Amino acid sequence: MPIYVTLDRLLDQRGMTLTELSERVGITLANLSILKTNKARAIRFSTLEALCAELECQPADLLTYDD
Amino acid sequence: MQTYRADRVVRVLSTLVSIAYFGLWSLGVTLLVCAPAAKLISAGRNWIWQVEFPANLPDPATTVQTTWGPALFVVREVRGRLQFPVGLLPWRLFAVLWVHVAVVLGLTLLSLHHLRQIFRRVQDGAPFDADNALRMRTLGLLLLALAVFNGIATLVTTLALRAELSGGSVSVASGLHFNLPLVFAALVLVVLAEIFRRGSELEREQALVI
Repeated sequence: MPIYVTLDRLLDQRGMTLTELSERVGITLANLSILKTNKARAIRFSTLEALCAELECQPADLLTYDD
Repeated sequence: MQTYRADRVVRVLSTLVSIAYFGLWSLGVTLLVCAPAAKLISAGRNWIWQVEFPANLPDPATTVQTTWGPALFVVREVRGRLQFPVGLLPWRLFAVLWVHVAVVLGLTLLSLHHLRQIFRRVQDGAPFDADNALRMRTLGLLLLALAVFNGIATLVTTLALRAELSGGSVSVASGLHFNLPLVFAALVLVVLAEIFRRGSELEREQALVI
């Protein structure tokens, strides 16, 4: 899929682990892992909102399009 | 997340299916093994067996008087029961009957086995399991095979019986009859399997929506 989730880069920049993010946004570690490894087929706006709120970023910072 | 708990009806039916499966296994194996043994050792013993088959009456139609006038009363779908000492039954006829019972029993047990597996996955909270769709399709095809085989085997059995009987006012009725409700149920299962297969795909996709 040409859309990539750059979650690992943002986590590195904020010095946060995936486990910490999971606890803060209320998304399971398994689901965050699916997002991080680009295996997800779709993302809900509510999930995007929760991630952007916690990571203090824009959706464009999380998602990259590379054909 | 709420833990799935199967409906009480599903749990009760699942138990009944398991009981039927193990019961039929035990009864079936006993019958198939003991029947030839019983025939072998039946010499000098008056062990009576009975075989049921569709029968023809010599005069199935009669006129009856009703409150609205005379009407023709026709007797249909009569079943006869032939009772005889097992030691006198010819081996070739015994073999035909034994094979009929064995195949019907085998198909029924296979069907019950698949049904048990489907119930188990439903109780586990995974009704749209990919294997469930395949099992449902297999169950539908097994029931269809059972209906077709039973129809053909009953014809063969009644023809074999008819060849052995003579005299008497009742004769063996032979014809090709299929259990249409069973065929209908089989077709419904096959189409449901397709729906469940699609449901399984949607569930897998849904699991990847975060």
